[in-house]
Amino acid sequence: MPADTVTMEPYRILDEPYFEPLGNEIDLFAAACEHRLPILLKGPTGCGKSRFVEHMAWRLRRPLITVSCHEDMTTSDLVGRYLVIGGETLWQDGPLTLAVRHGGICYLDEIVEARKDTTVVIHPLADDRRMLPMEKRGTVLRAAPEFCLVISYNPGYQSLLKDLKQSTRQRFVAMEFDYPPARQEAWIIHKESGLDQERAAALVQFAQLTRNLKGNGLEEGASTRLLVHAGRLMLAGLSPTAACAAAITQALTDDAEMIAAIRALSDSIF
Amino acid sequence: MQPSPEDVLEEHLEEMLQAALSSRRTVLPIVQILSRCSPAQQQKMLHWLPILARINPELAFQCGMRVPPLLDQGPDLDGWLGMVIDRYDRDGLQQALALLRDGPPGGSGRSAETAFLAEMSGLLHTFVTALGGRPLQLAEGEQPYTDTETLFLPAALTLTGQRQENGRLYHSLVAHLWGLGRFGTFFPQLPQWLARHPDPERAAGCYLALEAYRVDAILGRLLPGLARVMAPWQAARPASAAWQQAARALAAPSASREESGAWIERLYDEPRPPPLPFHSAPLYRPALLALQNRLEREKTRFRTIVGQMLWQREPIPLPDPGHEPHLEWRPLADGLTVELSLDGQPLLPPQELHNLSRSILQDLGHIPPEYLTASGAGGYAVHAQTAPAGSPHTPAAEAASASGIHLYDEWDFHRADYRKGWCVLKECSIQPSTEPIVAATLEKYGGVWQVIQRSFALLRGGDAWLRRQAQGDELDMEALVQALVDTRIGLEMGERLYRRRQRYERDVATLLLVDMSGSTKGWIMRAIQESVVLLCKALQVLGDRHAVYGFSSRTRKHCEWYAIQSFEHPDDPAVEGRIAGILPMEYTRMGVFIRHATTLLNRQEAKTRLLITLSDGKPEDYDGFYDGYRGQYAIEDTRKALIEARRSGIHPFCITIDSEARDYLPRLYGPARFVVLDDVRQLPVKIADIYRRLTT
Ligand SMILES: Nc1ncnc2c1ncn2[C@@H]1O[C@H](COP(=O)(O)OP(=O)(O)O)[C@@H](O)[C@H]1O
Ligand SMILES: [Mg+2]
Repeated sequence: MPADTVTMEPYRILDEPYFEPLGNEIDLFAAACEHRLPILLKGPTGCGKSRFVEHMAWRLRRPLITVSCHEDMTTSDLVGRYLVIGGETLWQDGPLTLAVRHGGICYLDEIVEARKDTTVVIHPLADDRRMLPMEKRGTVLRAAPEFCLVISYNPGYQSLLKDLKQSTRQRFVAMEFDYPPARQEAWIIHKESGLDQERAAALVQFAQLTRNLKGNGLEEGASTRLLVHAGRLMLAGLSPTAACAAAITQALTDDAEMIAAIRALSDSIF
Repeated sequence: MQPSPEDVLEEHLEEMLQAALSSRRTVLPIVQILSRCSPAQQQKMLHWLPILARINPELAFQCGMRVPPLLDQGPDLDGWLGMVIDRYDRDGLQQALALLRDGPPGGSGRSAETAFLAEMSGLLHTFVTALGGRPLQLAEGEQPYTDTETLFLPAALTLTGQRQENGRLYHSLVAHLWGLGRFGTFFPQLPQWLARHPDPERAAGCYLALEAYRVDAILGRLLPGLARVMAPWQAARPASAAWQQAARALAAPSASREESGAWIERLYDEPRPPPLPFHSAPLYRPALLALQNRLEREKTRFRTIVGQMLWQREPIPLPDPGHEPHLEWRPLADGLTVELSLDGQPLLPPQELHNLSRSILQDLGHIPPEYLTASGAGGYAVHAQTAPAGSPHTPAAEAASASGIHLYDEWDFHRADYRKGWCVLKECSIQPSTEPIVAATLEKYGGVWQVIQRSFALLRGGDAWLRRQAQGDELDMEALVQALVDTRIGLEMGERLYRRRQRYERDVATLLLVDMSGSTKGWIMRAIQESVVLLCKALQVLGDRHAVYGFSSRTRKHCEWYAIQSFEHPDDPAVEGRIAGILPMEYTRMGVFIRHATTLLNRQEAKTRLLITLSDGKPEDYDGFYDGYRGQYAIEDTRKALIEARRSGIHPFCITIDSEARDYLPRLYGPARFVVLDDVRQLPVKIADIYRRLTT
């Protein structure tokens, strides 16, 4: 087996991750990868972006390296660093470098969470050059043909696009995600949690009420992810009200008045 | 000629209750009621009415209307009216009126089970917002109905023996009234429909009862939990066979208002089933009036925004006389939002247009073509709009704010709604003083200042290298050398060989809001000034961006905002003169100032935005309008402003100097964190420390 294959083996996805397509996203992603274009996934948290990338990695048979971005992340966390092992200094590739070098999908999840001075390294990767500057080693790495950069962000927070250079930004193939239409969302909850479809549909109904509160006291409404969680709790025997309170309401807000209001919403559904 | 006793009484009452009267509301009914009472009873009322009128004219008026019939019921009328006044002081007018309506204890004695609108309006408003569609307001009304923009609800509900059940009936009522607007009960052609019947009013009653069945059925499918609350009432409702048949037909998911209309004829002469407690009063004119006004207003606004969107297109299209821009709309899955496209290209409409089209679709079911086509020679001419005061994006408001004047809404808890553009905030400047207050303060609090300098220097932002880390950005040469030495002499090599850059970035923006009301005169003001000096110095040491503003008000039209230190000029040498120049002025209308501070803070790009208010005691302002800015009104508005601040991502923190640790503080500052200092002399000593604990 060539060295590449061994290195990337842990990042391969062998079993099909369940993903319910809602439009032409599968074809679009495949086409962008084919043409070596970077991909931008926009959408609220918990609406299926990560699941989609996992599914696509499986489908395209490419390794997937996911990095959850956070504020303390440094460029070294992405690119790599020197290690000293047994008195020897060794270079260790970071996740981004791994994907660039050996070919694979690198998914920078919630990229706005990272500081700007960390994320500048992706600019030359995202434009025509497809290069990764490795400052510490004083070299530049050219991306393997199978490398694909995917970033995600939640437009509800702030605009990342503002921070990207126009030339870079225009290269991203942007795909918009949102909560699935009611029927599909209930189906997803049913598949993911095992909850019967009737109660799954009621959960979706409830979620839609909370989504109307976005900007009116809530930063976000209940996401598909939270509904799946609530579904699992209900399946474990919790009452719908208790499951919604624990899995959804408490995750959305700390505001006592708001909690009472959301409780009234779940009472009027269940 | 001798004036009659009634005339005397009338004149007397008029004088007393003046503020609660209007051209449509006179004291005559009270005069009539009182003239039926015995002289002793009259005496008693004439004792109480002036007392109540001084507290609140409305309360007195309502008392005059309701109390006389009760005069010979219980001996403890005085005790009860005392309770009403207590309730007013503690919970405000609505609660007092509700107590008044309930009658003295022992009478009906139902108040423990009563659900009050005043207590539930926040909850109900969130509830109706979550139901979606056009934004709705809630207001108290004598009878429940909706004009499709506001839901009018009774002040209290006592339909069942359980308070919680009464609360759920409130939810049912709100849902039902919402449903009438959402599912098309009111529409422009309704009057023509009704006019086909011999007595349109009778037909209207019939139609609304039919629509109530249809809307209840939709709600049953949408909100099964609420349906369980409504079901027992529905089951117990008497209805003739024909009405039951109509109810079944209208319960079908496909039923429409047309179907309700078709049933009118058959049920016209049948006795109508009584309305249920969560149903609307049989009113439709208010809704039609609102509808007509709204259609006109929204059409104009819609076309204005569309026109603006066309103009703001990039690149601006060359004028082409042969080509009319072709706008199209397409409904999206939820039925209430649309996608707009221009010449086949999708447009990205502003939020306001989304809201408008949602409202228009709700009224008309579609966007009529004339909304989308150019009108006459002007095309999509932008007509001058009279801007509603208070909405910040209107041209009028923009012009105003450029001149240092800002309009802000104020929360009126009586109505559970904002008074739009109610407060006029004006930027003013402080007459500087030459007193060297900084040097004097630092000298007076020398010990405190030293501690501040030492402890705050440690918190300063900047980069620092963390040494001997297991992982890091770079090798830690010192550790490496040590490790190599260790291996040479046969020790195990250490693993912590890296250094890692840690950012202590204090990305904090702080706005300090200083109470300059008259009550701070003397001592308190001095302590406040010294505290401002110490805090500003401390923030300089820390490197946190900060601004300081003072405020004082005299009625809603004179809310004065004094700049002491702005975010924009951190090194402004004139700051000292302004701190020294702070003077006690007038009153404390907290809400508007918190709102303006929120606006300014939200313009700062910072990870943490902190709003600190420094005041003594209660928010209060002198106002001509009934009830003034005091008591619960002031508390609720301030509280609301703090909630708004918090929801916009600001951390509000309130420092109050108050020796009486009053019980309203938890309610007032509930949304914020707060400290109460009972001795003003503690303030300069403690303020920096309070700040330090707040931000680390
Ligand atoms: N289209 C979908 N197909 C399958 N599962 C989905 C889909 N959308 C959402 N989910 C469910 O929601 C959960 C959260 O999705 P995730 O991909 O983690 O959200 P995001 O990355 O957008 O924050 C998933 O774990 C999955 O259970
Ligand atoms: Mg994710």
